[in-house]
Amino acid sequence: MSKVLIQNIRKSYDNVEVIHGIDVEIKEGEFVALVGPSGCGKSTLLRMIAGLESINSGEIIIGNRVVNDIAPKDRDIAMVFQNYALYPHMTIRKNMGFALKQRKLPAKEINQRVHEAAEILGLTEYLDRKPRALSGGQRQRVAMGRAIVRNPTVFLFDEPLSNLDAKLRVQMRSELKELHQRLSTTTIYVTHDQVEAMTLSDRVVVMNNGRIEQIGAPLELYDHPQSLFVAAFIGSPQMNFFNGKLDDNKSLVLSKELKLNLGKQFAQADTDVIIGVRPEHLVLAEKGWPCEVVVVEPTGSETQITARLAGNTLRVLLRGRTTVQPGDKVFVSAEPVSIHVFLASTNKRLHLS
Amino acid sequence: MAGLVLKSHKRQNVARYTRVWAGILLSAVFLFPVFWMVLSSFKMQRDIFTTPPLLFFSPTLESYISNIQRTDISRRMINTVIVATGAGLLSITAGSLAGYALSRIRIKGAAAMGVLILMSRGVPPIALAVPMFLVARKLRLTDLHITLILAYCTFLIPYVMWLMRGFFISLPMELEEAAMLDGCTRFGAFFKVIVPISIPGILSTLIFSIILAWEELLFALVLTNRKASTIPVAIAGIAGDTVNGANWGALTTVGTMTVIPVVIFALLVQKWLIKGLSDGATKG
Repeated sequence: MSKVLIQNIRKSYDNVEVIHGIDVEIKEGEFVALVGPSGCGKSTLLRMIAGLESINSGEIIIGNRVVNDIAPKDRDIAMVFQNYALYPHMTIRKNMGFALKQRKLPAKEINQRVHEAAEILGLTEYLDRKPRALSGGQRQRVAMGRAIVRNPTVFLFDEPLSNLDAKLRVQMRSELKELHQRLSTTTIYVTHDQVEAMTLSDRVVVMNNGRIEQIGAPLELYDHPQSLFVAAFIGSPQMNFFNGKLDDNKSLVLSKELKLNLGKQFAQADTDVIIGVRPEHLVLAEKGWPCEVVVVEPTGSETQITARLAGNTLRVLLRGRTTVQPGDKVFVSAEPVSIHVFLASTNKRLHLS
Repeated sequence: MAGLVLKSHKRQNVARYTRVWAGILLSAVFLFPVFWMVLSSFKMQRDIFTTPPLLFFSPTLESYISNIQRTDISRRMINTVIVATGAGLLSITAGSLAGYALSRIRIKGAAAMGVLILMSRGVPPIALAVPMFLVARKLRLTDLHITLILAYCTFLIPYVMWLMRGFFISLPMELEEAAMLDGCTRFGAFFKVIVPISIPGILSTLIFSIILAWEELLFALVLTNRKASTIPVAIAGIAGDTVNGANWGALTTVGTMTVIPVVIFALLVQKWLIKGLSDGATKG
């Protein structure tokens, strides 16, 4: 177990900077997810930690060592790749024992450690098969087993579940979580799936365009997104957004006729803002924001309503069922605490005064 | 509807037959000289020149027996084996390493370097043969196996390099990265992971190289004399015998003997289909 410190890391390819100075501190035993859309630099950052990509400036510290110029093999980290990268010519036993053999450990110890890992992952009966004789989920487990046997100081995962089908992905997700609870090895996990990031990790690093948007515990990101990007990225279905203007300190002008009372006090007045409300935080009410229902989609446990509010589309996610029909005029409202306001000029969160 | 289906079926059948027959015809055109060579090698001298040519005759191994006993033929056969194997092994070693470097290591100008090496194959061999002879003579290297091996490497290495480069590119890069995280250096990853997976590709490329070296005439003619001379030189000698005229019995027999190992090799290569060998390495 080691802490990982990433300090002002930059990376460019052919004079195009793709990572613009990133700082993250990962504590010992912590499970941190790097999440963001494709091309945001999360995989590049992970590969830099692994030593598979060079670093243009800044420092990566694992434990107490600066590892910038240390070869991948000497960093004492294990990585699970998206495509598993199992050695096709070796049996599962040899695949899992390969790293230990490279370290010239005695055969007996290798065997014992491979067996222990195989036991944990339920792979014991497949040890003498070649990877091609295994299913996707089993290969995924072998890839994890290969990382476990080494007992490394840090685990790196590069979208390890994205090649699995939906059902298996959910299963492996909880296996991964269980594994981390059991081994408590420092883990850095790259994914583009916000649900994976939220459910697995202690803290989530949201990245966009080679920069960090926000670092925080999963629920903190959900409750207090610091930027429009994080607000839109975290949560499913996506947060509702509409443009408006703060006229005095607490009401929002959507159009000439429609003024919404936000019920809270903001520092700025007379500014262009974007307001965000999660679909699940909106409820049908006696009074509030006047909407016209467009579509009603019941799924049994919940009902999603698409409505029109002063030219904006609004999604409302109701727990349970409703009698509302398309064409109905209804009022929706939300608790002031779940209304997020972002400054239109910077896309950053507007704080209460 | 049914009529339509039938019609398209018929059209497909016609297309298939046309393709099959075109293939048969083309193979016949290409294989006929080989067939005639093999046939003639079993004929007695008097049967070779009959008009019309004989398709049925009493076959004889006489020509084979006498030619195998000729020391210049058997020695040249051994030379050919040494030179072709040596050139094949040397070129596969150097060419694979070069191909791997070209496929994986990001160096400025790597692509240009690769193209330049390939372009060296565009030089007509005859333009190289004479300078090579002069260099070999200066270094007292004429009529040695190693000279011929090195000369063959000049055209084999570019060929191997490009074939292997394509092969390595098709392998997922994560395999070496995993090996490098597992404690290997880049060389270690290459030899412990990439080479074992690439064995089929390496073997078929090796066999192609051996075939190319096996049949080479020009460099062998220029660079060797007696000791290291190869079988194509012997065949050229028989065909170009200005004193006694071409001995067609000997020519066809030695020709057949030379072709047999090549055919066996070519059949072996066919078995190693490169596709699907990295199965199971990644997602499935």
